[in-house]
Amino acid sequence: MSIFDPYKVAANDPTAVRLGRATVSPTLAGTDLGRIDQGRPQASGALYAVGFVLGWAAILLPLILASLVYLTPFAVDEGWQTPEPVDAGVVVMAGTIVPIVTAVLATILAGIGRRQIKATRNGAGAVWLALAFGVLAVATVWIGDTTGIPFP
Amino acid sequence: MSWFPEQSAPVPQPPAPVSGATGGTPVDPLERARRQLADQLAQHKRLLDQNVAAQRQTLGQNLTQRTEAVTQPWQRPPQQGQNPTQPPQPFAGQQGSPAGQNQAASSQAARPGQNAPATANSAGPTNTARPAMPGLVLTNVLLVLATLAFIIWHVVTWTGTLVDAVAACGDAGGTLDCFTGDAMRTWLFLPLVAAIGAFGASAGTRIETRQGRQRGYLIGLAGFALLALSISMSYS
Repeated sequence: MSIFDPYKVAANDPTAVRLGRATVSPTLAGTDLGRIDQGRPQASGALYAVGFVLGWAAILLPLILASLVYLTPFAVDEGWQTPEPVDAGVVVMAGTIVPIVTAVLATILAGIGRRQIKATRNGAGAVWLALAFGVLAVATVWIGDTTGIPFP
Repeated sequence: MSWFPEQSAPVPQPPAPVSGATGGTPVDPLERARRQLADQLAQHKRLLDQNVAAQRQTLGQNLTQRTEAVTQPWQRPPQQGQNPTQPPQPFAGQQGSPAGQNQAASSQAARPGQNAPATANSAGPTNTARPAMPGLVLTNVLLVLATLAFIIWHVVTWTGTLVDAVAACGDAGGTLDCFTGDAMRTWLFLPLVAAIGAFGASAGTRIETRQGRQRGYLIGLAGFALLALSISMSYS
C-alpha cells in the first residue's frame, strides 16, 4: 500500500473488502505507461536541428574567416589584388583573436541552447541560439569590414 | 465393539484422516494437529510472499511513474511492457475462491475503459515508453547514409571543377573574390551547409522519434531537400 495506490495491496489481501478497480484513478498506477502524453512539453526537433547547424557553424565559420584573412598575403605574393592592404596588427586581430573568441563563445552559447532545447525548454533554447547567431554574425561582419574580405 | 465383527473396525476411527493416512493406521491426534499447524503455517507463508511480491511491484511502479515524471522523455528507463492494471497473478490461481473470481471479473470489466486508448495508440502488443516508429528510424538512417554518400560523391565529382574555376579566376587577374565567389559558394560553401544541415536534420529527427511525433518526417524531408538543392545547384 502506498499513497499512490492505496488499493493495491488491499486487493491482494483475501480478507480485505473488495473495492474494485473503478475506484482507482486512471491517472495513477492504472495508466498505460507506454503512451507519451502529448500535453507534456516536448523538445522541438527543428529547433534542435538549427542548434546543430549553429554549433558547427561556430567552429567552421571562424576557421574559414581566419584562413581567408591569412590567405590575403599569399594572394598578394601570387600577384592577386587584395581589396586593400591592411596592417599586420589588424590581420592578427581579425585572423586569430576574433575568430578564436568567436568560436569559443558561439560554441558555448549554441551548446547551452541545445541543452535547453533537449530539456524541453524551447523558448530559452531559442534565445541562446539567437545569441550564438548574433555573435557569429557580428564577428563575420566585423572581420569582413576590417579586412575587406567579401565573404558573406 | 459391535456384535458384528466386520463393523467393529471403523467405528472408533475418527472421520477419515485427511492427509498422510497410510494404510489405515490411525493417526495420532497430536500428529494430526501438528500437520494442520504446518499446513496453516505454509499457507501463511505463501500469503506473506504474495504480499511482499505485490508490494515490490507497487513500489516499482511508483518508482517508474516518478522517474517518468521527472526525467526527459528520452531518458526514461525502458518499462517492462505490460499494463499494470492486471491483477497479480498468484492469487488468481488459488483454489478459485469467489473473491478471486470477483476481482478478476471486476478488473476485466474495468479494463476496456482504461486500456482502449493505450491499445489504440500503441502499434504493437508491447507497450514501451519509447514509441516504435520504424518508418521514422528508417528515414533517419537513410538520411545519414545519403549525407555520407553525398559528401563522398561531391568531393570526388566537383573538386576538380572547383580548383579549375578558382585557378582560372586567379589567372584572369582576380581578387580575393575568387575565394568567396560563385564557384566557391556553389561547390564548397553550399555543400558544406547542406551536409551539416542534413546531419542536423537527422539529429532533430532522432529527437522527434524519441518523442513519437510524426513531424519528424518533415525534418527528415528538409534534410533531403537540402541535399537535393545542393546537388541541383552544383549541376547548374
